[in-house]
Amino acid sequence: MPKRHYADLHVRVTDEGDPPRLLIKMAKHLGLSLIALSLDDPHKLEDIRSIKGYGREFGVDVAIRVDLKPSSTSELKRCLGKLRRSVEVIGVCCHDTSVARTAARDRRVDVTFYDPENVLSILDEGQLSLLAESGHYVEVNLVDFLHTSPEKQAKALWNYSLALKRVVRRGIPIVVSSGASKIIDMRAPRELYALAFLLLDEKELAREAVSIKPLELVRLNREKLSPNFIQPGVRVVDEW
Amino acid sequence: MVKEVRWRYVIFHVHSPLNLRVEDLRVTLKKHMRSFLGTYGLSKNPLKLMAYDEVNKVGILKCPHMSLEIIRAALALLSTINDEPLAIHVMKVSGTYKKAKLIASQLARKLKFHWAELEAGMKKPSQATEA
Repeated sequence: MPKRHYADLHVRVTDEGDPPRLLIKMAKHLGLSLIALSLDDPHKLEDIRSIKGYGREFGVDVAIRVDLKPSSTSELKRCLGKLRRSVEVIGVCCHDTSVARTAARDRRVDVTFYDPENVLSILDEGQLSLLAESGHYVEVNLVDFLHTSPEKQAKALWNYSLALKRVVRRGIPIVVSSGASKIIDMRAPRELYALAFLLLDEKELAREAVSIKPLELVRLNREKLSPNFIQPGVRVVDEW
Repeated sequence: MVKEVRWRYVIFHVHSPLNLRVEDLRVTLKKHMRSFLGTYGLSKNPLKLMAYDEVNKVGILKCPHMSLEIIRAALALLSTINDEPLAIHVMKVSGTYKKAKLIASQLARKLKFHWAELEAGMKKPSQATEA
């Protein structure tokens, strides 16, 4: 049987967190094949690109991701237009309904993630229909459950398990990531799988959420970013 | 004869800048599991700290094989001890205590080398807040 590969699609690079090289080392230690290093500030993109080679040396595939937390829909569209061709994954933090609706409608967005406190109100039927049409991924971050009181942890687990049931019913792909910015918050793939299993109550879906789905998303986006790509299913094979 | 309960021995590694004592870990685990699973949940998913190596930060937990995923998730969601950050990573799972002890000692040797490098780069909690 071929070895299963695992990915963590959300490892944040911040000023307060650990440096990217340490995050990559930790990913290797935990047995991850791919990590997506995400930036809150798109201006730091050039600094992070050099880290890809370092990841390759270590045997960890590093993808570049940008997380957008726009205050308005126009800001979201502007950022998407500027960044889509330069990063492999674009995630949008859907903190309010109007931003969530615009993100769900826009095909340039790959992943949407939510605040555990209002995930139930934002991920309603309207949002789910839009997400199902555009084929976006819904992401759950383990860090949302950490460093919080047991009451808040229980509430977040309840909200997410209800919301994810709706998501599964609509056939929308789910990704479970760590969302960590420090190595102490990173978790091994089997631990992410255990959380996914706790929320989804289905082994196969949980396994896909930490291995097949995130790897597929990065592979497809890399294909789209390659100069030979024309449209899905059509690419340049030879020129004369 | 078929066994009523098939026990599993979970070999874990504690990732923390603190030097934890066995008693501290035992109390933290007990408290966390009680709050995470509740009394009823603990009766269905019992667990026991069998051993903990304070120097290498490697330990062994015993739990029923049916509870493995829930215990793994509970350990993944444990993030603080005495208000300091902490992570518990499950390294291996074994079916016998004898084998678990063997794996734990092998892992301790391997981790000592690998982990020193990671911990050296890890910010202490005080440094993290200052930044």
